[in-house]
Amino acid sequence: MATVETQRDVTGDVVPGVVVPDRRPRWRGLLRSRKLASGLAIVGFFAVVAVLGPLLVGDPNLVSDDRLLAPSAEHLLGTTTTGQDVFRQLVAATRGSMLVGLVVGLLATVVSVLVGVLGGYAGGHADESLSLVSNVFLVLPGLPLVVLITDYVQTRGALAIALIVSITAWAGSARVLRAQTLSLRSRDYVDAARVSGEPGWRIVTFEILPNLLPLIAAQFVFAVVGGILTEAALAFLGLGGSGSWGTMLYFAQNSQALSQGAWWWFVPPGLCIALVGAGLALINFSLDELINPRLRVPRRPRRTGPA
Amino acid sequence: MRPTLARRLLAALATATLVAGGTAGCGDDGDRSTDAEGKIINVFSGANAGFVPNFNPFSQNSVAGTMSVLYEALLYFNGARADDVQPQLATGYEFADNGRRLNFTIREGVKWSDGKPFSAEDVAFTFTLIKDNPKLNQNGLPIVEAVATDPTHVTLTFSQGVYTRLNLIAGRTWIVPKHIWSTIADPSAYTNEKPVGTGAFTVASFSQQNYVFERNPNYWESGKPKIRGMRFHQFASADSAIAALAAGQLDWAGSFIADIDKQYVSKDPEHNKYLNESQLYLTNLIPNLDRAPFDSGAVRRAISLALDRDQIIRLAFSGYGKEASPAQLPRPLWDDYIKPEYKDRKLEFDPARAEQTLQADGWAKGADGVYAKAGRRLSFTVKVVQGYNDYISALQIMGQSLKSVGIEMKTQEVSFTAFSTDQQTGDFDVIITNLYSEGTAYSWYSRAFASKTTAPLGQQAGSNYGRFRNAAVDAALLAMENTPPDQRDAIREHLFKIQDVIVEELPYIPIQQSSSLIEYRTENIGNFPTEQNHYALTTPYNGPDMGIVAKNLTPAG
Repeated sequence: MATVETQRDVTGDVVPGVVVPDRRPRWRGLLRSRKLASGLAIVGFFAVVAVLGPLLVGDPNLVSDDRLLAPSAEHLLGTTTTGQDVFRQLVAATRGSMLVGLVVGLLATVVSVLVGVLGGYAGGHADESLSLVSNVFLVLPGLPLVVLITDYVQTRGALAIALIVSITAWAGSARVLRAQTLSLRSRDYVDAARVSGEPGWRIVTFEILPNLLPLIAAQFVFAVVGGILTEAALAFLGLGGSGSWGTMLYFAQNSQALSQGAWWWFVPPGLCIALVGAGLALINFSLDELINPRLRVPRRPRRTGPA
Repeated sequence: MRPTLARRLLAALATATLVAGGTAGCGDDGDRSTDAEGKIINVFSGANAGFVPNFNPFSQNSVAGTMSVLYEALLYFNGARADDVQPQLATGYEFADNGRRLNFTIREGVKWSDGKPFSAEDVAFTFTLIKDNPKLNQNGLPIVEAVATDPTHVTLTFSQGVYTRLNLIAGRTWIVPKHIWSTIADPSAYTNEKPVGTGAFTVASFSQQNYVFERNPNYWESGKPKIRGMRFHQFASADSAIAALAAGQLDWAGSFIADIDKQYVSKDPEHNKYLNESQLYLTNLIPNLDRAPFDSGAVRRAISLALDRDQIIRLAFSGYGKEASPAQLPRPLWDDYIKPEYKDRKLEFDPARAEQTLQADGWAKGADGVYAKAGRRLSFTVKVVQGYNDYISALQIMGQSLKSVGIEMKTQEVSFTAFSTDQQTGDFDVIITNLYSEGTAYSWYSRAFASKTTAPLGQQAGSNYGRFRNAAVDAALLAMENTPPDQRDAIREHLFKIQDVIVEELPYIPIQQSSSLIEYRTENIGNFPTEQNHYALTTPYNGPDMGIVAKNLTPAG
């Protein structure tokens, strides 16, 4: 929250109503943000389902002769054409999708921090070459490339898919982090640290990184969304094989669920993707506001003075 | 400006996702016209992307209809009935020199669609062209020489006997005009956008969205074709094709439709008909016989006994697949060539006996409920092409059945390219795939069971991926290669010998006769083949059958 300060004009009168943005992140204010609260609630719910859900419901692949049944007490979300329970599949798929999202988020963040922050701090040739690499990855057409790689790589599984998706997921973040690092490394306090003989690794770790944390957190959340969406796209093209929401959509599509009117088969996974995406986006927006005060929507201060 | 960048990327990613996923949704059904004359019928042969002009009958990428509708072969071998051979551009043939020479009598009075006369010269030219361009010789015909002895006679000479390859030589070699193709520099890359053929139809128009064939007024078979033409459509997704079919916008299609009675037939029960062509493929679990434990017949039999094929067909293959014969020939097409005692033999489902079979072979159930022998658990991995969702579903069902008898089966989805490589080099425990043939009983067996079509592990096998080798089978196949095709009783005896081995040893585990659904609407077309009058295979795909159906269709009513 920005503060409303008073100041004096040239005549010395007190003029109220100037918004002065805070320089420091206000973590406490953040927690009161409704966006963040709802985002965390949604994502937290799916995280819990992903961790505990598969232990509570039965085998998602169990077939039966109850083919393509609409939702009922027995099958909460109906069944597929092979008589598999959609609810169980949804719970199992939650784990697959969330796992891919998490791994992509972690990998992309680690790589982007390494490339962006180190390059930005080191400068010179190291920066130029790292920057070149991330620029190349940035202009690569992500999804087609991932499709190609997936088709080429033999193994299928959540981790393999997450690795492949990560290959193209880090470049944007790396650029953002590099830009911010460039700005930070020329600040006075960094210069001071350098002059006082702090080694480079220490400056990066203790002076620069802490100030990048909110930015990194936002990039992480962004990478998780990207990971979940890209995996869903891959799986929908039949390239997944990791048991995710996209896989469910793929099977529904290929079994002609749409033209057979089996909405219970494709609506739930679609909704889940949308919900998790929305939840993560909300978290990201509130992080954005934290970093960039101009994005905050403060309670509009009432103009009390003359216009 | 970080947030902007982040959002832009997010938006771009979301768009990419939508585009990738959305292509399936936006169907392009072209303009439909079942016009007043009603004679141009609307055909869908499975195209799901823009048409690229290619009417080269030697190319695998030629558009549907090029083979057999525009260009014709010497004879037609009915893909739906064994031993049904009909004269086309040739009126007769005879073998000489122990099958190394083939003499054809060529039909008189045939004209190319540009009005020039067709003769034996064109036939000789076509085979010489194939001989001189190995890329065109996709069937690997051992041609030495092709000579037109007079305008109605051609003699083909081969370096080895070709008794078993008549179907490929006369039934699947598309005759092209010498006066056009003799000037083509690279016939394998030629796209032939203005095709001149002998077929019953010619190209009237072509666009990315659809293309139209119209009746060839100079066609040699009098009174045919009866319909005015065919328009070929494309649909980006199965759903849009089904919608078009249900709305009566297509007259002939080869589309998989789940619950076809509800989604298609019920929309117009009087006219919406379909055929289930199940003679083309045999779905099999193919174990690697060079790898333990599949070298053990008991293990293979136990797996087979544990599978409930009715359930697999009902759930994974939408109930369309048909029961497979242990003789590994599609029925009823090859019934005359299956040993009577095997004809009605079923692949049993008997979990209790599956376990007994394993126990008798020395396997004992371990603490984890899985059988083991000499410290080796009975556990294996089946490779399947990613995205083949019917196979993947079938494997899920099989996995559950096998688990209940103490066999552990895992599934590994691999890319198509990886699957092709692995099956050729033998890098697998088990694969699930379709067996198929070049149209003869001999070819069903030589492709899958001949030791000359296999290779040691690590080397590329031609078509016998399971690495089956058996001296009796090889001897019977060799004997067939030296038997003229009209000596059917002799051929039958050789086939029976092969069946004795296959039924006894169960090298591969048959799952089903795979189905191909063919939809046709009797509102606009008549005389479509039926189960009773199966004068041709009805698949509307590039191949020998489509042209036969097309020229025999009649306008309805």
